[in-house]
Amino acid sequence: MVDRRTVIKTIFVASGIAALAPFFPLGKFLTPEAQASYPRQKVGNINSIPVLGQIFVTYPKTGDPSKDNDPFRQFLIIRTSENEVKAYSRVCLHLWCLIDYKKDKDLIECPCHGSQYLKENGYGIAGPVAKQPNRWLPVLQIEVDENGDIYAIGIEGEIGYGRSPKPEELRSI
Amino acid sequence: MSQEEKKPTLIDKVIEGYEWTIKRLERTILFGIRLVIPNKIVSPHGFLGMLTFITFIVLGVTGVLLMFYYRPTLTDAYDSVKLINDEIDFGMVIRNIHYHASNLMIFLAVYHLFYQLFSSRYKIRNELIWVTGVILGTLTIVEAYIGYDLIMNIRAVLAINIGAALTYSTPFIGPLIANVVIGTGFNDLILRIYTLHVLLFPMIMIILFTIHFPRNLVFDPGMVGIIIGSLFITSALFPVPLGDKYSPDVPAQVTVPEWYINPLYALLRTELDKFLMGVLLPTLFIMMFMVVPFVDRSKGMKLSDRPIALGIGVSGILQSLVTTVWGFYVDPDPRKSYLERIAIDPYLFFGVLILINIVSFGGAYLYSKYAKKIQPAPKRTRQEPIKISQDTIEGIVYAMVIAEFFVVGVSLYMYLLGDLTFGLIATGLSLIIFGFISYGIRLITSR
Amino acid sequence: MDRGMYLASVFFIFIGLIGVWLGLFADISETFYEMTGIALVVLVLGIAMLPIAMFKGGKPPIESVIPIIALVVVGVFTIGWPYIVPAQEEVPITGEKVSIYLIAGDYWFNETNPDIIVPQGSIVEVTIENQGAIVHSFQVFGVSPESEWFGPGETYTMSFVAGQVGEYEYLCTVPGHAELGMIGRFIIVESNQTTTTE
Repeated sequence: MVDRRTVIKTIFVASGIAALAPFFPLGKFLTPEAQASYPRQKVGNINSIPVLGQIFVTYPKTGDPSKDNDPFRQFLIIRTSENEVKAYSRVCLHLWCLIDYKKDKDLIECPCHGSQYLKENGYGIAGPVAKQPNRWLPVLQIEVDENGDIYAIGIEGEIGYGRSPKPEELRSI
Repeated sequence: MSQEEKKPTLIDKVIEGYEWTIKRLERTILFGIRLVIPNKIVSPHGFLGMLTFITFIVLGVTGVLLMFYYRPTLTDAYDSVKLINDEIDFGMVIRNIHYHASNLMIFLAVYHLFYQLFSSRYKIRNELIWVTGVILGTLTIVEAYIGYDLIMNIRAVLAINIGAALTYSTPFIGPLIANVVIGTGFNDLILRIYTLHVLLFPMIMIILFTIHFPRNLVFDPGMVGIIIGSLFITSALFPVPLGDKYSPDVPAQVTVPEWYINPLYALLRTELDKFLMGVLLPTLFIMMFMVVPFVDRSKGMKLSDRPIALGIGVSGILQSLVTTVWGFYVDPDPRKSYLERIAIDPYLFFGVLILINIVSFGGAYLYSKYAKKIQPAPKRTRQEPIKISQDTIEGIVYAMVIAEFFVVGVSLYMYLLGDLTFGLIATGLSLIIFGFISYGIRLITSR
Repeated sequence: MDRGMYLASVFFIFIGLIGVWLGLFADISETFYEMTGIALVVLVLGIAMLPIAMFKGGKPPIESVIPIIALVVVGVFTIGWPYIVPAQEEVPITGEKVSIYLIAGDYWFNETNPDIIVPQGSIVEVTIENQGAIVHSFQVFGVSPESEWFGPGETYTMSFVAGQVGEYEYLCTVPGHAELGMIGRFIIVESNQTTTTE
């Protein structure tokens, strides 16, 4: 038989711990869910980009320069063919310099230490980023309507760190 | 035998008021701490911790003053620092003192650690004080690191990048912490590390102070004056550069972080796994210090009885020095690519570090084995004291007092003219002279 | 004599001297220059502590002078390094002045990175106009110091003496630019030969 004192002590400790439980969800205070604030914004038109050309866009644009100048909000859109556009975060996964597409090399390149990514899927193939486990550029999710207007609707992955590739993408490299 | 009562003079009234206050404060916790002003000249080695704390107070005061003008947003951070530096009256002075005090605090804390290590002050139930001390030292370096991140020049953002990459690379808790600190972008990041720098870490440090300071504290106004005065002089002579404003389009320049981050930087430049080099190895290095009271089970206090402590001490000093200097070295040939120039050959690097460890620990053990075998030195004869007459000392003190008033006058005049550099040097000089006066008076009154 | 302070001050003076030597005189790496301030402060601290450590409590024992003599030797060697290291043969300055005007673009000098040939001993004045879209710089590695970085539209002028005869390279020192093509040959020939730059 369990001693009565032990039971009371156990109940006391358990209720003490239980009193702490409601504080854990409060941790969400520190990590705001950014998904809620991914509005659907027009960022450009496909017909204004030459084939194998690129444009730089800010998303989500707020009009407030202290937010809009944030490198984490800079993306590039490459028109890879007549009807296709690919959009990626401009923040290099190595040390966060802004990357851009070099037409003569057909690669997205970083000016700081020479990391290079494929335009087809944002995979880091050369430079310091190729030595990291995280080498897939985050993708800007876009929709193109009949008029050629490009709308940004969300971000896949963590800006500055990368995204998890789909299984078929892993097999293709 | 009663005599005519003398009328109480002004000095008597002041002393009465002072004693009245003391009696009222005796029941507060302030009087749990005994502040001792030594009555003879003692070596500062014994109160390096107190000097570190004084520097902490200087950092706090200058920090609050800087907070009046600093703006923690992406667009305004660098501009507000530039404003403080260039336009605010004495802004440059406050900023430079804050920067140099941060370097001084780290230097004094490390000096304090090694003195306690070599003089075996971590024994005799001081183990917890030692552990909290090592934690405080680490927090000081993290605080200083975050501090120079807040400037948001190119070098600061490079440091932020590396810090974020290291945090993210830590397994399990890394991505969570990185998410919390970075929030939704640079704007959030600056505000959050600003909060860590001005409030959270200082508060944690103050709480740790309560379980690190002994109850009897030595307060030596002479040495405090000399240290603060020297701080002002170095602040005036070596103004901290502002750097270029961070812009994501400017290509990476060849930059080196602050000297206390250099060891980490050198480790990362070996291009091996980030977590191993940037988080695990530095943590192991810090743990090497933290476990000293627990691995040194010897009974003796002399260095020859404590080979493990001696080994850790020498190895710690040598490894810190070598990695700090190596961190500064960048191949000067601009024709090589950036990566080639900053890369450090890991075999050479770790080979040197392993060699240092072998030499330190091997030497320590050899020393402990053979030091006792060597004939102990004959008992040193009592040192011949140096005779200086009381009048000479008094004369020097009076001369120094006159010199101090002169230098203070020069300092105020310089500030009036707008020449802050010379004014600050003169202020520092006056504090140093004050320190020496304080020592002189102590010499006079101790006879 | 306070042994602890004595050992500490000797140590500080020693590493201070090494730091000053590396930062100012050894000419191993430019970034060592940033170390000089710290090294100087540590050196001054050691020098200030030394007399206090030695004379505290009375006259110091005579053996304590030995490390000090060793430190003085190190100090003389450090500060006197530029005089000790055999300098390169003194190249007599002929007084001849060579002016070169270059246009810097992304990523070339004068489009073809032409060879620059100058006579030994001449004073070379190089003016570079940045017609590119980003920041550039100029250096003749092994002959001239690095120029400051100048932005689009800016013009920068620097002068230096052409020293030892040989083949060198001039380049833009902004990381990555030399690799992308901003590099060319800079040849110093014996005087009495013609200078050419296309």
